[in-house]
Amino acid sequence: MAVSVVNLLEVRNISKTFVSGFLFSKRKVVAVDKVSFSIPGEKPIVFVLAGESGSGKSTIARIILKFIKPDEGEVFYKGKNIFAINSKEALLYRREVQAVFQDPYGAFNPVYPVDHILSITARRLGVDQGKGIDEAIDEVLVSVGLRPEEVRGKYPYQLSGGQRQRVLLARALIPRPKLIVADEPVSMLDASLRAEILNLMLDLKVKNGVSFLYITHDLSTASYVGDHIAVLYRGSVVEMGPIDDVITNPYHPYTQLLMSSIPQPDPSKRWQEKIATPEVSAYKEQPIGCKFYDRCPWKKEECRKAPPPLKKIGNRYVACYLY
Amino acid sequence: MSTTQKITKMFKILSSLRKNRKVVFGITAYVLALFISVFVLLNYPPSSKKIGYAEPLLPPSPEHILGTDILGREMIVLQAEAVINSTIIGLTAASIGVLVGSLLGFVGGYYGGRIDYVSRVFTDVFLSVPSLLFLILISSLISSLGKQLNIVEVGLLISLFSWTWPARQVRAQALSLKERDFIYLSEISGERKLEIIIREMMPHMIPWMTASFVNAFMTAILTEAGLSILGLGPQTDMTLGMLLWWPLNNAAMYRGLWWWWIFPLAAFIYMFFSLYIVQIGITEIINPRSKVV
Amino acid sequence: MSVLLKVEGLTVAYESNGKRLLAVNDANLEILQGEIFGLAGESACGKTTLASSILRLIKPPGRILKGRVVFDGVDLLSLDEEEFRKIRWEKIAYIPQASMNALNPVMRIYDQILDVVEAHRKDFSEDEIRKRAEEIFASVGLAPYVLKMYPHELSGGMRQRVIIAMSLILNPKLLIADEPTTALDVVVQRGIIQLLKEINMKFGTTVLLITHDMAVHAQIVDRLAIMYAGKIVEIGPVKEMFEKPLHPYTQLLIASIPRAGEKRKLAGIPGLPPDLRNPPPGCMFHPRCPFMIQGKCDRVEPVLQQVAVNRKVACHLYKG
Repeated sequence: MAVSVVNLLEVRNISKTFVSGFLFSKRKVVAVDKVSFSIPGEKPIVFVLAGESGSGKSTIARIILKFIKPDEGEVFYKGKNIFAINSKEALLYRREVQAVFQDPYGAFNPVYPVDHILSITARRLGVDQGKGIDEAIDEVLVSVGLRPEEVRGKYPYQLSGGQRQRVLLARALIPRPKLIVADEPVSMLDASLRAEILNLMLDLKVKNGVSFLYITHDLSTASYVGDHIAVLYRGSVVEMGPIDDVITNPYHPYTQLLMSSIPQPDPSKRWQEKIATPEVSAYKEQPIGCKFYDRCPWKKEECRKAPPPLKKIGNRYVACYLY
Repeated sequence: MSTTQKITKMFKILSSLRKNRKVVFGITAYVLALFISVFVLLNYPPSSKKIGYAEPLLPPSPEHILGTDILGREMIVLQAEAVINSTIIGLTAASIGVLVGSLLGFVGGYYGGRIDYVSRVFTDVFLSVPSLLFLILISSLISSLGKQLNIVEVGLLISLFSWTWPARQVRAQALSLKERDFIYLSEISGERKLEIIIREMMPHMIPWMTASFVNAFMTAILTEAGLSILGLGPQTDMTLGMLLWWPLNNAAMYRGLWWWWIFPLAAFIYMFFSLYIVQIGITEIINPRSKVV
Repeated sequence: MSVLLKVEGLTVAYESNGKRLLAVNDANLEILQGEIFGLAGESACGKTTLASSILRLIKPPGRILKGRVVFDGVDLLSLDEEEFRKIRWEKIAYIPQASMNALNPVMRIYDQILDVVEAHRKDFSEDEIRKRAEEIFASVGLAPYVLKMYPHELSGGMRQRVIIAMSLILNPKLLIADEPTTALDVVVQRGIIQLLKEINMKFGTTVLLITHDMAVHAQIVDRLAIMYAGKIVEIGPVKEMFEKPLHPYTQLLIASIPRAGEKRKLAGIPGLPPDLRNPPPGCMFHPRCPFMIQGKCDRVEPVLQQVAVNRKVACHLYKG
């Protein structure tokens, strides 16, 4: 199958298993299980990777950012396998694919002022032709709504959480990326700040032409910024499609469970029934059939035998025997 | 960072050390002792260390400030020498210990996997062995072969074990540091692996390495004292430990020769405690929550 | 309904390097018997400090400057340590933030429960404790075999249920839960939120729920108080608060919450929360307030006043 050059990022069948413990107490955790999805490249979009803890979303982010290698499968950026490129192309990859992390404090080395990582990015990954390093840094700071004077020379503890997250976004913009991997960028911010950062992301998408891979467990913020969504459950994609459709009319039982569990900020829309789904204990063996089997209200015999494949139903993909 | 910024940064670190009263007090006390020792050595003739310089076992008097020992040597000169020699031993053992230990610990913690496994097992073996016992064994062996150790060799001997604690400390730091968000961010920003280790990780490890250094220094002085008192020290040179061996070996306490053992003991306690206070101060800086006063 | 807990004029300060900041500034609120009362606000607004004050857990450099905390007719702040010990856990139970991570990793759950009960009441026999533990575990949806397990064998949600169970063992009248669902997955969160509601309905336990998550308040709380920069700015029944928020901060806060499926443009609150060491003159919120009245809001601090039945606001836009 030819790799479509139109796709900005194509993740194909990646898997990753973690082994912990030594000698006699080895434990295997399948974090990512044959995951595939692609982010198209015609116009900038926000692609949401949604899932709870244990879904594998952070591991997928780390694979895409080349912090770890997948056990199987490939990741293609603009048609090239990112794990099979030379160092020049690797540098190009770092320029075009950037990241923003969850913890706005931990992302900075506390012994240096925040400029430190900005100038390193500018010097190592390069800035636009004809621009000085400081000029380029000031420019990106302004584009995220910060005044350079309020940030330059300051240590991380001297800035607020919102300011830090903006600086991190600014850093990501320095090399003029095409894709920013944002792993829970607003979860550690207050509600009133989240709106600002989310609006900023939407702005950057339109004005700077940057696509985002937005990784989160919070479907409310996901639906605000997202265009497309892939829902992950225990390492596998269970549903994937345009975000408005998936959220308002979820097909997969897990997506339905997720959507119904979100507390609505509206006292007139309270949950009516008690949630019946039993909770998962800390460590579970990898089941043979569908991973959602024990919690699924519509389980059938065939669900136990083999994991359901991802099928195209209408405008989306679902991995469920109900369809 | 520009050069001026780097220098400012250096001053900031030094000033944070300066602000901690315990560190300043301890270092001043220790350095004061060193200065006094050097002063004494400069102002007494080298013959004052030789046997028969003065009448033996003279109590303190205006001519012999701290008295003389059984061989007629000037006590104050012996003490000055002891301070300096013990410092050399401490510095040798601590420097080698911190350098070797940090390297081993860092490599293990940073690379993980089998390299870490090997380095850990190696470190744990040396840690679990009773170091003083082994050093006693080794020194007994050496002395039975007729070899007499000089102070640098004693320092090297002690450094056989002084690297273990720094190795552990630095490994723990490396392990926790490499998973920090800002390290990942540095990688994404194009920083090369070596740059990351030196520029991003080192500033975090230096406080721990310093603490290990002071610890190793203290331990070396203690260990040397232990070995010397048992008669396994550098017999021909004077160290804090040897200073205690002489009176012990000659029943100074029973014979009422108080100046022969009180001053050496006081000197030993003084040197040790000044280092101890420095160590407490450094621990406070690293972990402000451990502050008691 | 009678008032179970009444906080009057509570002021808590933190002092360091000669500077003082008021983490809780003249707080007044009433919690009625049998209700679920929500305390909302963003980070550093003072809600955790307020909860800690009720349980007398404020330690230097923090200090309760003034105020009363009247529980069942008794001012808790005036009791001596011995008398207060009888109230803690037996009458008022507290679940601090991230307490599910505070379980002793080397003890089985049952042994930890034994520890806690024996520390407070010596008159229970082991049999009685065991029976009670199993009873409580059943009410929080945990099977009895969980008692024999170690904390690391349980998921986050199960550990939180264990903590809730432990807090209910001595049948307290008031349960204070501080961010009980942060760090939990959304499905598990729903379970915990519904559990709190159930406990309130089944046992009549009054609940003080503290969280920044407005959606959680919307789901189970009866009345809600909003805190900003150490001050209580609005109190009212939850439905009215959401439908018709009075205080500008409340309005902006509710407008900044995204709802799944809605594409309405979200507005944040411009500016930053005030530096409590150098608080702004007058109303704490005035520098960020779109309705700021020049000359009034920047000079005079508004007082929490009753402006309608069951509604209190601290804002110059409203007359008491």
